[in-house]
Amino acid sequence: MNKPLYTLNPQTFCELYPFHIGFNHNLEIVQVGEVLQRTHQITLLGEQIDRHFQIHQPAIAFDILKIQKKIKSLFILESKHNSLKLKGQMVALKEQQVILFICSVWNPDSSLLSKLAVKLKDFAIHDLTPDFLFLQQTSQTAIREVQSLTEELTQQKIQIQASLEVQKELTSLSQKQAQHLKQALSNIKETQSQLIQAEKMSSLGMLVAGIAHEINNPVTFIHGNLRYLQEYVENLLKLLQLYQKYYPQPSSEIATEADIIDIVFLETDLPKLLNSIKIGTERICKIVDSLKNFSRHDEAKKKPVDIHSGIDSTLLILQHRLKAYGRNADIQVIKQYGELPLVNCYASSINQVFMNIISNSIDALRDAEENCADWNQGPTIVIRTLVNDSQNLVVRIADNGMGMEQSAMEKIFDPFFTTKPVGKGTGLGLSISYGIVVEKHGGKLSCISAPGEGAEFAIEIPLLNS
Amino acid sequence: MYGLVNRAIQDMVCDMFDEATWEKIKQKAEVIEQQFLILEAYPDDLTHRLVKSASQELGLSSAEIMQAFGEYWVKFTATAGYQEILDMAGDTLPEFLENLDDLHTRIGVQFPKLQPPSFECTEVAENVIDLHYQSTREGLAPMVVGLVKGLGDRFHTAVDITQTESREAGCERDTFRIEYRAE
Repeated sequence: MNKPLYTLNPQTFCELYPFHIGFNHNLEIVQVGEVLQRTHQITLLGEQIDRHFQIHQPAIAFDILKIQKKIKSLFILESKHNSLKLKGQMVALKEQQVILFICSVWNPDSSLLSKLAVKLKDFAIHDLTPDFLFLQQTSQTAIREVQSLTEELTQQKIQIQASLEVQKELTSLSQKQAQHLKQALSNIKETQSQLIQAEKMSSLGMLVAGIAHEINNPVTFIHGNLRYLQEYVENLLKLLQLYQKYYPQPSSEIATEADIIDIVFLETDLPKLLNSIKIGTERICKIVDSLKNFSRHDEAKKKPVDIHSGIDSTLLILQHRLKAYGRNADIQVIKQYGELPLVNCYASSINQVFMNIISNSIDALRDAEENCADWNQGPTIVIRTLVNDSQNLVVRIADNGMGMEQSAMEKIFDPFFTTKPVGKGTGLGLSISYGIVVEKHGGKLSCISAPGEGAEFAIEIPLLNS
Repeated sequence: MYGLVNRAIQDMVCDMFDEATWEKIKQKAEVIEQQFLILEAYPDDLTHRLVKSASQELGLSSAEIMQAFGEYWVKFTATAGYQEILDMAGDTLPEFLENLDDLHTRIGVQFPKLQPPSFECTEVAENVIDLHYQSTREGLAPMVVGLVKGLGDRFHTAVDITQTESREAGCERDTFRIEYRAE
């Protein structure tokens, strides 16, 4: 290193280090930087340094020997008057026996500096302290900004969470509402269908009842007079026989007419004819009774009902569908009726159940005949009635059609479920029947079936109220 | 420019008008930033777009906006955490203007991409100075007028300022004649 040639004069030194302080071996302050002096109320020159400053670092007291021992250390002094801290190094001037503490403000606190009226121009241009001060200010500004942004983000997070909660609630609510709506729609559809079905059944009942009533009067009239007609005819035939006995040789005109009308045949056939008419009117009366029994449309309350009569009436109504047509054979109906008491129920509704189930059985049998090549059984419907444990009336209606898969079985009582081709079934018959048996009569409606093994429906009605 | 400047424009519009106006200005300027970060450097173009959009939205000329901004800037920097530094920069208007370049230089430690303007004062007569302003950016001279007025308010000093030289008119720099008197 070249030997230094130049040094500073004391005045320049003071300008470059406005915060410096110098003291002698007696710890007496012998020199003070202008700005440091200005920040103190008292004149520091001539004062004992340890009265006005304390050493923060290193951890030593104001002692010349100790200071000299630590001369290479970084020193931090703090003013006992204003808490101003100074950072720098001790420089020993051996000749003058003086130690100069060359320093500047340490850990600058801008508010303290402002309070002490220290300005930017009070720092030497080379001094980095103002830069630290600016850096500190900016760092505080940045921290405030980060805090503000963090708060904003936290707030936004809370808002987003709240929004998500609201959205979740709304979604749940809308799902519930959709579910309610779906249920309500299904209920409306079901009710509507039931109303339509009930109206159809009511119309059918009224029609049947009307026809039965209209037919009943003339048939009763015919049937009632038939007895007298038979008697009159019998009397006339007796009289004719008397004439033939006492006038064996009638005039030619009478003989000719007798031949023309074939009096011998007429005498034997007329009673047969009348008997046949009697059987016919009796049958008509029976049909009318069945029709009246089926309709029972005027019965809004439970009444004791002969279930067998209801089943028979239903079969009579469905008679035309049981008969053979085209390649389809007669459906044999096997009745295995047990002894039943009168059952307290809504006759018309129960008849509707029989109608739906027997109709389904007929459809299943016709479907098997028409669409299943390997099905070659005689189409049969077996209707069994019995009383189960003295508690329930049981009507079992079984067919020997193709039966059903388990998956179809699980849905057969659901509204609008049908295995029939589009347009042929509404999917409501069994659903309505289920409602009538289970809800209206507190009974049970069940089905047993397997593919290829036909189907059997069991209707159970409690006898408690019967 | 640093986010500090854009944030100041935002605060000025929100203070003088409202947030809805600021949103319109931002939208018109096609600025998508939700928040300007003070220590982040943004393209100068973004600030220019904001000023242009504010001019259209508020029905003021760009010069009027810039002058208002200069005035607002003095208050804004004090409230944005630089109060003590401003305090240390001087106790009077001429002293502060004299220290402005040093202030900018020192502040460059925290804003390394800062391209600060240069201010030079020449004493013309008692209470009259010429302020010479130079910047790498164009069109900011009106801001200086507002800045000096804002400093006048800060130091409770009445200020008359007139531009005597203009770079736009072909001069080497912008010069402002400032007559001031402490109240």
